[in-house]
Amino acid sequence: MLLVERLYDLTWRRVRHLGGVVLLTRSALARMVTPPFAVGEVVRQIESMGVRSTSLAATIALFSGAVLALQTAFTLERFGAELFIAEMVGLALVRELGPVLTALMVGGRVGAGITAELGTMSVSEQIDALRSLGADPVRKLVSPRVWALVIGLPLLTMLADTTGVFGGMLVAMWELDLEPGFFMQRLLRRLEYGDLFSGLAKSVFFAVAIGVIAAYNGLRARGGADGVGRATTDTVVAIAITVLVIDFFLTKAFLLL
Amino acid sequence: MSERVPTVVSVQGVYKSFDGKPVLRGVDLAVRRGETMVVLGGSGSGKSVLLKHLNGLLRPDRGEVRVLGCDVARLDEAALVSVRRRVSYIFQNSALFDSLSVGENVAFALREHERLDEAAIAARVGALLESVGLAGTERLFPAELSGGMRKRVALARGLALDPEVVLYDEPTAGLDPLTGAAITALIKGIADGRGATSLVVTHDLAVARELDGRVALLRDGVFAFLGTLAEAAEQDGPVGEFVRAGGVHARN
Repeated sequence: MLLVERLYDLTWRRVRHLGGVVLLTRSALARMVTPPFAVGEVVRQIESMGVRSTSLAATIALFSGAVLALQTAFTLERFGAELFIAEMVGLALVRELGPVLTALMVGGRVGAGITAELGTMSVSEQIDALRSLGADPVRKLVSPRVWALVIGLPLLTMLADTTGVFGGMLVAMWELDLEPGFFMQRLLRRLEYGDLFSGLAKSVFFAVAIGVIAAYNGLRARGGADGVGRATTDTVVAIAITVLVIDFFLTKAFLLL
Repeated sequence: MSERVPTVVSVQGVYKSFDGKPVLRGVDLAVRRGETMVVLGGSGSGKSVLLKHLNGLLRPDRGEVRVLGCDVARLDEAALVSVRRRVSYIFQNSALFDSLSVGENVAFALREHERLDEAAIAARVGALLESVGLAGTERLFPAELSGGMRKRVALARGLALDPEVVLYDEPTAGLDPLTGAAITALIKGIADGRGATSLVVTHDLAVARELDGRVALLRDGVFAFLGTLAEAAEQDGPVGEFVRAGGVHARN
């Protein structure tokens, strides 16, 4: 009976958590498109979240592109099809790895930051202070952060796509003696706007998920530094799982289009 | 105080529990316009929980909360804004916004609710800070302030919209006796000078003695006593013991 009760309790808590995230998503999106717009705050958040994540996104994409090219070259050589390396590396990066890796890495970094910041505000009663001064915490704190991610994450994804392809091209030059011009020509001939669009559209969905999950956990943090720490860990795990789950369904949906 | 003075804060039969543990078990309270009431009680007696019901930060499991004629317990967040503009809440730990300067903290409600130009806001902020003895501190950040200074900034922030009701949550907690006395004097000045209705939650009997209004003693989730501090000291049982333990003695 105890086990059943605990399972019920756990399931109920998860359902409530999911319900809370869905409701926060709705309110955050509604406030993102209705005035007043906190343009200054959005710009500040883009600077603090996006600009400071550029080196992280670029470094990860550079080496991921290079590793992908190494593995692809190794596989293609078996079939004598090395010349297809540009298309394979380019398409995999732009459609899949660029947006997903950027969301995982930047999401972990930025999401943890949002939860820690809002969580600290929550446990020190600053969120209650905002409410008691007649301000709306979702409009003041959540929507600008989601906007910043919706603008910043696709830009970081484009940066990751570019540096990833560059990493792949370097490997193709050194391992397969391919000319850079030849590599880029083959890639651009095969790459379509739809590929780029599907990758960037994914990153917009990831951005909303990252922003809302991180804010939700922050706003619900209780119990001092310990509570903020737990909320931050929950955010990193939840963002990783959510990004991968959303990615599966979006990939399926985009392939059907 | 005359019976004809309207009641601005009315709490009737309020119950509140957290995770199945009852904190308030049917609280009744009425505060009249311009009155200063002190809510006393030991740690964990539910004083702050009661106060948070008065501006909608918490909602009762059942019971009625009316403030300035509004049914606070049944208003949604958007509708509560009009109540919160008229009811100020001073938090126990000041709850200043860390990322904003002192001036920006005090200007927050003005920027949020009033259409003033920056010069008017700066003048208003300067006057508010001067009234709490912190003139010229606009550019400092909360992390640079002492506990007493933070409390003063919180008072200035709370007074920005000229509230009709001010709710104080443990205003002297964590302060040395001298600073505590200075904060209590400010609270008295706000009540007398601005005519604001004040509800002060505290376990500090020195505050109750200085403010000299009615006191209500919260015990086991209900008010065990309502009257003056001297009357409380004359009570037998836990109410009298609590008050006498704080150095307040019966007149006889």
